[in-house]
Amino acid sequence: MSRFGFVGKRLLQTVPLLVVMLFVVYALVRVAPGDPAQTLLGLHATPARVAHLDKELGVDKPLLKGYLSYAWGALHGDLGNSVKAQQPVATIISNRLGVSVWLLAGAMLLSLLGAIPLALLAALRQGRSADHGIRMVSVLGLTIPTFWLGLVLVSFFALPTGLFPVSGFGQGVVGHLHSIFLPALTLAIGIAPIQIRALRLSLIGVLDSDFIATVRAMGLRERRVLMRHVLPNAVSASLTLLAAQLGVILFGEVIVENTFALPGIGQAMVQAIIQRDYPVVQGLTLAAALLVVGMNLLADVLQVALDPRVELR
Amino acid sequence: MDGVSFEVRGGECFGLAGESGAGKSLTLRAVIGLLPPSTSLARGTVLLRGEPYHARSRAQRMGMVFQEPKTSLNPLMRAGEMIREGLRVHGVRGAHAKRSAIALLQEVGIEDPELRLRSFPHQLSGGQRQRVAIAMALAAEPAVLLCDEPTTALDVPVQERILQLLDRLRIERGLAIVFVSHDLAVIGRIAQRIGVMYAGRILECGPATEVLARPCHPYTERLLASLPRIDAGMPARGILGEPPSPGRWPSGCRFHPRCAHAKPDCSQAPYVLMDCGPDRQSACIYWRELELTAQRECA
Ligand code: SF4
Repeated sequence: MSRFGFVGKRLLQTVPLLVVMLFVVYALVRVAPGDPAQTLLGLHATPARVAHLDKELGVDKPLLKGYLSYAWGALHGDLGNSVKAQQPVATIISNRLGVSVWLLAGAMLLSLLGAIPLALLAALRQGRSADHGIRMVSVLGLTIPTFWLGLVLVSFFALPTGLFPVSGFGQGVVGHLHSIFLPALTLAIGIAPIQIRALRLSLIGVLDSDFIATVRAMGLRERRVLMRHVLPNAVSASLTLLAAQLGVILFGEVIVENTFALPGIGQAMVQAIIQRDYPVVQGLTLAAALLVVGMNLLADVLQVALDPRVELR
Repeated sequence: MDGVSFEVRGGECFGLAGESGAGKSLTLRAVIGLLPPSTSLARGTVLLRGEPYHARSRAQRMGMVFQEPKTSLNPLMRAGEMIREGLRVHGVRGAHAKRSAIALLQEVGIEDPELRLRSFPHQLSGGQRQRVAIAMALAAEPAVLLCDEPTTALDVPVQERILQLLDRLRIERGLAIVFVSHDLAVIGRIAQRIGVMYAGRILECGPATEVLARPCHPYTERLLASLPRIDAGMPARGILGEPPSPGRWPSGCRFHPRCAHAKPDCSQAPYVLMDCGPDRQSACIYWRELELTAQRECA
């Protein structure tokens, strides 16, 4: 199988996943206790309004039929309308998805910028004080709760210094970067420890391998040995882990988007849940799930680009 | 490991023999200054063309070829890229590097070199990988080629061809080779001089033909006896007992618990390599008396 065939296969493999995902998202509303429309409209709503909303939410149909029509709509970009905001759910998502993707990418980038050099240092100084120090600091990073760290950064850093905005997404690329920096940092500190551990381990493995001894013996500069031979091998071994972390970041986004008042899907999600705006909850869950699937696919493509052996798997 | 000392001249192959765990590979790693982090500090000097060798120096280069062809090449790099890494150490780049890479692949006997430049390690057979590894090592124009059991993982016919290749490179390029193997037969094939290692020490060294025909040390004799002899149709005799593990070496002559000729004072014997013939040394304090035994055994 060609290497692009591999990506195609992965793409096809996601189809059943998407079908199941969509079902779960749809069933969310159906299994929620009580009649969704009744809950939304309150106890004093007229039966006619309840029936009307039931129809809109699709809960008047049998489960499978309702699912099929929801799936059909989703395929065409129609995820229903928000009950509270009088807006199509698709519009809400497309307005907010960008913010979350920026934050996601920012968090990943920042964490790797920290994790790669630290893991490299730990691996090169294996068993010595630098290694232990880095391990201790990363355990610390792992134990700090995201919401707490976010609040601390807002109240002890952003607010007193005024260097960073504490709400909104800013204008233009610079504005965006400016406003996502602290939230991304918050997320990055949460995920970097795992990256450091995994990278350190695979770096130690690679550093110990025969071909590294070979290129060192033949007089290659240490910088080049690390950049060209050690790092690519270690990173490609850790790609799967990085992809798996995206789910963790996404979960963290719900928290930091609220702490930093960033108008992303995480913030919309909390709002929608509080307001029991079921169509929006459904749509946002779907968007988040799609994001994770898409990012995993991206990791696969990267893996193929980086590692020539992938076609054999 | 202590007191290990040997010398290899240009155009000569020095074979280091011994059971696994004797410290052969460690010796090679120590030579290139790449001891694993777990080993306690090693001291020693390596002289290259009479000058002290500094590990990882760009002016003094050594080539390494390892046992396992699966791990001796960077799995993410094409053969051509790997060879260019060696070439760039002495400033050969660009189109010139490509020509040199093709020439090197040809020299190590890779068929269709232009095509193979683009191959990744997993697309090559074990023998081809070892050839590419050798080409890569040669690309850096090393003064010495260090080979750590480079043929052990290969099939016998492939093994033979790699040995022939190394032999040819030694003669044509005047290359100095250090060849480590547990297999005395392989060592006998390729090396002009050999050293027999046991428990971190060299017990005997000298010209290959001499040492193999007339061992001056009981351990060499046992190693020779353990070789499978097809002609005699005799089953291989193993060496009695397990080799000692590093850090728990026996006192005196470290071979004494397993030596068939051991006498009471062997466990106090100091480690000294004594001349026992032209260009030959043995660490056995009784080599003079035992030479006869060894001869009879071999005859
Ligand atoms: S010194 Fe003694 S124990 Fe050691 S090899 Fe010679 S005879 Fe055997």
